[in-house]
Amino acid sequence: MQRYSALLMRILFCFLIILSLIACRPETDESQLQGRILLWHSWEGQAEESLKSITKSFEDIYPDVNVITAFVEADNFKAQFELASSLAFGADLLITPSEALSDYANKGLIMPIPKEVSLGHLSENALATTKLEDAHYGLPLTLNSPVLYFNPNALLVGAEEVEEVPSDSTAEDQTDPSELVPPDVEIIREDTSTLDSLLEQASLGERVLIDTNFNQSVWGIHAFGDEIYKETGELALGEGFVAWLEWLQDSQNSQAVFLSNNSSLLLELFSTGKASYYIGDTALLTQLREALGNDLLVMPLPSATTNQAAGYLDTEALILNSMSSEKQQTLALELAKFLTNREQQRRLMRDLSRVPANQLVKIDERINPVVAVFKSQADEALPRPNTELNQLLVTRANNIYTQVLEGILSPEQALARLQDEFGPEALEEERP
Amino acid sequence: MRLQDNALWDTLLTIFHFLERPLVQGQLAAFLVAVLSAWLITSIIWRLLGRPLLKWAKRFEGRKGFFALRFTRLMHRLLFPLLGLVAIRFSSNYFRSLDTVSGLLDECITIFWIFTAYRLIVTTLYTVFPEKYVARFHHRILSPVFIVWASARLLNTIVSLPSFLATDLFTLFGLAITVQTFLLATLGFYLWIDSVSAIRDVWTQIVQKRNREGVGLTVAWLSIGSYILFFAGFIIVFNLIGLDPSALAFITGGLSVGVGFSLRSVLGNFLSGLILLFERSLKPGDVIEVDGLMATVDKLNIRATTVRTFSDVEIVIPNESLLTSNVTTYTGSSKRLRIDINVGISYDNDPEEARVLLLSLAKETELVLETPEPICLIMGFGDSSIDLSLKVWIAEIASMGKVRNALNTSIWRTFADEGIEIPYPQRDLRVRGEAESFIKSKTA
Repeated sequence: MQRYSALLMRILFCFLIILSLIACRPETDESQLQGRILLWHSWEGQAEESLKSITKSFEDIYPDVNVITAFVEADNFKAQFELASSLAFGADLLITPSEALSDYANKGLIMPIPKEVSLGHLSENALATTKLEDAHYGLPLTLNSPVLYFNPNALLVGAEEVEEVPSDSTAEDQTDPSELVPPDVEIIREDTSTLDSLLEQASLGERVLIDTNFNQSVWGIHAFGDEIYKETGELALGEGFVAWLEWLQDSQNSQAVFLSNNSSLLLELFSTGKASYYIGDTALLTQLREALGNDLLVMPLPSATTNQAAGYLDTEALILNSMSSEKQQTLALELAKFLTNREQQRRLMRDLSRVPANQLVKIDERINPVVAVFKSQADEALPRPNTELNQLLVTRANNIYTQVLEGILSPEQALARLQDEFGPEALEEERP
Repeated sequence: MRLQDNALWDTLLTIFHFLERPLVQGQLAAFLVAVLSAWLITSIIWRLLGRPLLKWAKRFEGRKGFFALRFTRLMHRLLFPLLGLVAIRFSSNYFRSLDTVSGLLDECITIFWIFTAYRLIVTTLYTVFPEKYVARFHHRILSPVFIVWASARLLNTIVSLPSFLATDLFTLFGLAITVQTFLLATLGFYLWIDSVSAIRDVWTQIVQKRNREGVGLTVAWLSIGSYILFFAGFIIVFNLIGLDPSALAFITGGLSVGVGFSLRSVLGNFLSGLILLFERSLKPGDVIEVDGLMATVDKLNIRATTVRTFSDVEIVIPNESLLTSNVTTYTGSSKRLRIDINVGISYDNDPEEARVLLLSLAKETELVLETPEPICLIMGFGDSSIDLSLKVWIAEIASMGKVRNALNTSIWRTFADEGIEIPYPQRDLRVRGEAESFIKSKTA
């Protein structure tokens, strides 16, 4: 036994020597890119294939570079990254939703993009989602904002009374399709450019799904002309917010309008053809197309004013791991720049109908009508603030929405509550 | 069979990739220095204090001595992991004080804690149970399990373990074999087989030590039970791999003739072993005669039986031989044995007197049974002597040599004291003719 211990110690000692040699080896010529990059993502199916194809192109250009891509489940991404970082492991480059950036940056897990990197080719709106204080903590890869999806093949709600769908029910509890209006009834489908016309469609039997979580319903506030924050950072909610809440309350009178804060349920209802209209993110296009086929239509969000409504803008951002070595970070940055260049962004748009963050990519409405709609929405969308204040507002606003829709609070009272808690006077009191 | 994915190669490259990071190198170096230092200090301490400690432990007697010795050994085994823990913790704290990542060191601390617990369990087992029982479990089951656990834990920090385990390795008969399936089919199956074998062997040894009467049946059931569990494990592995049972049937069907012929003798021995065990015609401790050699049955296994001669030589006999040939057993239905001591006395002595003397000696000799009573018979009139045979019974074959020695000694001494001659072989010589006259003239 002692002999084995001594042998093991000798092996460990040799390993220590090897480790020292690796650490002390001289730097190689940096003019030619060489080395290995580890890239983590949560893209599946065709998206993953497309990403691998792009990284392969990068390897073809730089033959001494090896890119290892690894899929990490979206639900497990944050936990996996934090665990890996605590050990100084983890990928060099990661594709992650921009809303996670502030958390990562606060924990020191990611490094800011060096200031000398030119970002002029990326859309300002997109860059705003990766900006924290004075630095950008990621390069936006694709844009994501809410749009109005329309399934022309969805079954319609009949004129007779149908069972009210409880807010916490599952898709299996929904109306039996046999109770629905037979398909030979002619429905005149009008445009849905306004919230009123959307309600008209609902009155004709087209079921409309609306997510009442604050983040997912920012578009509604914007539709009535309000912003969320002023340029100074103060809360900007006002009459538009009240009007939106009133509209939501009025829409509950229609049996075809289904309000819920259960985002998964709404997605499932629409994916299974039980609703005609659904307001969801552009990133859901691939999934919805797989479920509903190519008849699926995409339209701009309905508005209540002359301005186009738009929700929060999120991006899928490329972030750099602060645990990587200097050389690994350099390589990762080069790959990030490659992924956001015009040609690769065009590829993502063509293959996956993703909205490019590179504003130099021209989108032809005739060739990519869907992406054109997405782009128009993204251009109007509000970059989601990565602040602690916003996190608190979202939590509080979700609660207030529920109270308004249950009739506990009036829309005016709801606004008053939020202004009390997050208005300029409240924030002034909290400042040290 | 073909390799379907580069996942394994990518995992290896990923490990090398992480080793290029200064933050990782620093932590690994700190860990290695801590472990090597702990080992060095342990060696020095044990070299200086080991012998005095052992001397101190041996001063105690009985139970105190037993525990003192065990305590000393426990300290020796635990010193290295405990010192290692202290050293790694010190390194981790130092890294933290520099505001540097120390997660890898913290992970190593967790592994070292488990290593300490593992050492404690193993040492305790060695303290409580005989070494030969524990060694099997220690080296072939506990050690591999600990190594696998530590490796899995470290691997999980590098790649997502579930994803890694779900990676396809190769295809077999059209089925994708994942890493998890492969490990279960190899390592898992090995641990299963070894654990079942170890439990069976230890249990068998305990039973053989405590209960010689029912040991055959118990051993038979343990053997059958273990083979059932082996087969169950095989079926489970088969299912896990996802192989179609018809594939196995196809293979075995095709090879059955050849396999049947090749394994005929093995199967024959296996079935003979079962019969011997259930029949209880042979059991450990029985004395049998094999190839003219007397030996004691040591172990009854399912394929062969191990016997030990009185010269301490082990012979392994296939069970089929024992079942199909004549086997002389001295301890079959009864362990009682008869010894015959043949003695010749001179024609000048009274055989009846000698017979009575022999019987009295037999009754006085230790280990000679009173029932059946010793008997002494005048067997015949030999060329040189009157042949007597003293027949005594002893309780077990193990005392045969002792009784024979005691009787022979007492017979020789008593006969010498009583003037009874044990003659050498004798011949009467009749000389005729001139030689007869010559001898007569000389002896006149």
